[in-house]
Amino acid sequence: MNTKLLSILAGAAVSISAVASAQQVASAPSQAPPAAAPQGAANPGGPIRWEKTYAAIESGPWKGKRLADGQPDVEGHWSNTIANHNNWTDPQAGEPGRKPPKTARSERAPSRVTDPADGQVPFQPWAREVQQDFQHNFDNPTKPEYIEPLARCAPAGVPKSFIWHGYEIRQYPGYVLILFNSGTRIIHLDGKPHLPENIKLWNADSRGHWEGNTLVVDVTNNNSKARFGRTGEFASDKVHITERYIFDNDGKRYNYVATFDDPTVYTRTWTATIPAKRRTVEDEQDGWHWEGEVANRPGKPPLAEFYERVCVENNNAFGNVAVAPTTSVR
Amino acid sequence: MPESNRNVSRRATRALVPLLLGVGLAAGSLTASAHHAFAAEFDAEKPLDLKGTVTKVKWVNPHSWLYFDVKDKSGAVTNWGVEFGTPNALARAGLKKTDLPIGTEVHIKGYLSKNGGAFGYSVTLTLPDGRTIQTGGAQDVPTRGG
Amino acid sequence: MNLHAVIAARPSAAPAKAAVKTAFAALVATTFLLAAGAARAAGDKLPRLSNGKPDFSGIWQTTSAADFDLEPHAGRKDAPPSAGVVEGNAIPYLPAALEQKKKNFEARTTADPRLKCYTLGTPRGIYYPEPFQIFQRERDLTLVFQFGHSVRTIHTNGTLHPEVTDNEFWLGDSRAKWQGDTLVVDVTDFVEDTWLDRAGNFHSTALHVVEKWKLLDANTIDYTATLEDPKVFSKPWTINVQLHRHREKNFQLIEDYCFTQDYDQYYPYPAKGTTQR
Repeated sequence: MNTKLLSILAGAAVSISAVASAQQVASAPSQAPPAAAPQGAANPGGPIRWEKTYAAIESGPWKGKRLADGQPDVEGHWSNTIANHNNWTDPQAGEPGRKPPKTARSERAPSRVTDPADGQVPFQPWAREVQQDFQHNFDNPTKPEYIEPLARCAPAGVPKSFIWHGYEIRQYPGYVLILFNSGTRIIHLDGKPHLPENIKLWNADSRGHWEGNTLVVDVTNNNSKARFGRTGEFASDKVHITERYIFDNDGKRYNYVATFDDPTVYTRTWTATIPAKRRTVEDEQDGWHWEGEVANRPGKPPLAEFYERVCVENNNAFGNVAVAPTTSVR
Repeated sequence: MPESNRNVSRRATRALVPLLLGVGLAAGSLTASAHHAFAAEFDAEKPLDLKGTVTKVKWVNPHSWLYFDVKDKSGAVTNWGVEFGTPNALARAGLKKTDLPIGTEVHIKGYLSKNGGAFGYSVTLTLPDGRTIQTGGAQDVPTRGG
Repeated sequence: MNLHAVIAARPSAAPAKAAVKTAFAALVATTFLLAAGAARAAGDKLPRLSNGKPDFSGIWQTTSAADFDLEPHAGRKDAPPSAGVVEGNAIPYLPAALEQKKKNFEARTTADPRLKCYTLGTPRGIYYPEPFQIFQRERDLTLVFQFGHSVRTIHTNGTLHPEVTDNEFWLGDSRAKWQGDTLVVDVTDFVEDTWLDRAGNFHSTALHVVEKWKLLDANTIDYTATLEDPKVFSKPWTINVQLHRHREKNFQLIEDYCFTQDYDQYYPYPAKGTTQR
């Protein structure tokens, strides 16, 4: 394969990475909505803001709104508060292959690995080499497997979907749907069994139930092709993930706490935590957390809506640019 | 055939909301790569300045595309494709699909894509009537412009 | 049964007698109407949301051959025979568009966008021979198509099409209202890139579709779509198919991002010992 064509998924230019590594932003102040937003126009675009800390949320009773079928009502738009998928264990350190950040580690958000305490995925030695191989080659991919599949419009998978743009939760009797920017998960709440084991899927197979404020989801049938981010962390297709979506009773935040069990790749089970915040029509459009539009209903208060999420047809993998059309999926 | 139910009573005037290109960059508060980030796909060291005639427009989300034929000095024609923002963002910037019928002469300034093909990111579009439109939607475009 | 017609057909009598007869007739009519209503409710038992609207939730699929070719056709190597699903049989193409359709037909084994696993669009996704699931709540219907795992939202919350009319959507923008128990969906703002079937029937960005969704019974949807496109067709035309509920035990959609099949061989999860630095 033409290496020139492949040497394209580089990260930020040096100047931009310096800015990125220097950035430390506390929680943004809340935005007052504009007095009279033009019909159909969302709030003015703004920069993408991240937080470097988050609070634990206890599992317990749910005291907020409920849907008619009894589920806690958590419908709406959410996105994670810490960082994108550049770096799994040092989320605010920027992309692999770039200059190391100038800030001290303690000044940046903690690792997404919350157990074990060292914040590292407990890889078996061979798996650690494989992870670092991807990380090393991400900046200058010379083989197809070093181009993250997300760049080809493949779903971000579990758990990367939670750190790739904002997403929407829709709930129904027997189901929770999560409409990600890249891909959709259907979580079955009705007790149907998992799919047969040999069916492997980008967004895996999800069976869940509510325990108070916590949506507990059993995830199997993962094709594990998506990786967790640009630093190359991964699981095998035998991984068994137990997710706990722990919702704060204020309805504004939740923590995604997921345990990964895969004795073929890890030396022990480990846990990831991804904090998330609700986004609304009053947030700034920033091309990441909040990309909604204002629905057309004259004379009524602003109502959020999202247009269809379509990738490969419109953008031919990163807009005809990240993967040259002749080498893309056609 | 019933009329499609689109609101007819639009507001007479609509404030244009400027796209805040580069604001976050100047403030130093951005992360490195946003969705379809400029930096991941386009080369900040390779500015583009092209004039040509429109062959196709695709007004899609999250990035619209303009395709246009550019003739070089020898007369050879290359069809270029450049990326714009969303249709709604373009509307807010004052650009409509009907501004770009096939054959319209356009002047694009932006940056070359990293894959080496005839693709780029458009920062500004200048129309035959002299209007210049900010067309881009990426968060981390260099502020020095195209 | 039209009770009003039955009552109206009764011969008139002397006024007093008529008054009594009319009153009695009204009583009979009311009783019949109540009984008939109860029978209708008990007999068809349409699932309904708590707001009384018919609930289309479930997994549906057509058994028709519509996707092979909307128009009537004898059997072909690539299509079973069918009398077609188009009212009036022929799609009323404008002359230049008919030439394009013929070109599409000749090229169908390579040019059909479904071969790239592109979003099927509207209405093709509805009668494509793979299941799709409807999730319904008061404000919208969410349709997830197994083919490509596309997601289409039909808004039932009184919102209108976007003010900006330049958007091109693969599935169109869908805004719906209820006419009795029929859901009438207005769909606009299309790309030009989807086909309507495997025979190369197509449309432009000017496509406008009006769908009518009606539950004939709890397990059958009657689906009608009227298509107009002044750049392609000389007049609107209408198709009709029936959709059947999947009721097999534990039946569910299985995620199928078929466009990844061209490259997913590059992404096995790395097995021990298979990767070299």
